[in-house]
Amino acid sequence: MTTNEQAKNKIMNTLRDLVLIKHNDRPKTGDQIASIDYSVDQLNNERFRLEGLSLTATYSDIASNIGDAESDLNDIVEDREDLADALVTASKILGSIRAVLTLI
Amino acid sequence: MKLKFLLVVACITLAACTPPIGEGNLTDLGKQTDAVSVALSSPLRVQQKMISETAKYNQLCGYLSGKTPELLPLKSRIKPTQTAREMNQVAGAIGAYAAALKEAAAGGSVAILASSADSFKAEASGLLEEFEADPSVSPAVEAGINVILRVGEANRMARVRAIMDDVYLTLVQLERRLVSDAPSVVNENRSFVFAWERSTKCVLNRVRSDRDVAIQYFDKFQKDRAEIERDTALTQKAPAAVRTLFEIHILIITEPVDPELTLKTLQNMYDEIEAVLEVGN
Repeated sequence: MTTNEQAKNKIMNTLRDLVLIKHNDRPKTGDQIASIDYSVDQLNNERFRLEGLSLTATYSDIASNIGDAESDLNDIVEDREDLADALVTASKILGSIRAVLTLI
Repeated sequence: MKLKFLLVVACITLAACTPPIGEGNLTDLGKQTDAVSVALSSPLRVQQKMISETAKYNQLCGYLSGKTPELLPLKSRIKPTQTAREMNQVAGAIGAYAAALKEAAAGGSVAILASSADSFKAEASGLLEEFEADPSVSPAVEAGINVILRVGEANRMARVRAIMDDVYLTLVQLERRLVSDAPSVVNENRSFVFAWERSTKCVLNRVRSDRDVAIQYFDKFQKDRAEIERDTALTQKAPAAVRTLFEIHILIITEPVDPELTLKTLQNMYDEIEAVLEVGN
């Protein structure tokens, strides 16, 4: 029994193969490219069906989804910066302890 | 014990095997997001230019025809179409997303974290020396920190890819929307361009008697016309540009783990964890 996650991975890996074929160096006719694009579209339809999503969206929804992604990416940068700050603070504390120890 | 240890190494290694996004893919993504942003903002650009210039040349034409001179109102009554404005809004969102993605995947924060970790490791080693700790402790502490950072960074890369997967679905929706909207947007632009052409022809007719001025206007209008054609072509190509962008997303989301890199990571992680465990024993 294939789970949704496995089916999704299968779709994505097939999409990857198609994209690589489309953009490899071998010359292709317009019909061949159209045929690849058609297959990509079919796989995308399947992926949306699998996720229970609609293929139609308003520009406003699209801008909002991309805005959410930007905010999530900024959170990742913030996480990294917080960790860096924590390490700097910890280094300072260790440095202070060392300084005290040298005085003892 | 040995088996347990190997299992721990295997689990941590799996967690640390999400590869960073390849530099080539990031560069392609940056270029393509620029192309998409320019294409999506082109209808608004054309319409705003056409609206302001049409009003200006209509006024100029009236003035040259002997009417009372009138300056342009500060705000035009004619507005760009809703679709053009919404497409421009999406262009802005994509530009901001690309900048955030670049920073999250390979931005300055990666280098800052690495440098902070180096300082911490140096301080920790120095302190251990002060305590005259066993010489094997210091490398073990460094190894432990490396393991934590490696797993943390791999986790962040997995999060970046999950976000990109969501955006990929949104880009598919955008491409479908543009395929159906682009022809009507081009038609909307044509009506703005038609009004602009009429106003420019009126000006050209009025300045015909002054040959030098007429040539200057003629050259300017020709140049503007070529620019409009370029922007129109960009609007027509917007669906294809978005398709290329989601194709790059597919390549990044499904980027395979480099076997050589995995082996190297496995070796490093094994050494690091072994160093930590040896001190524990």
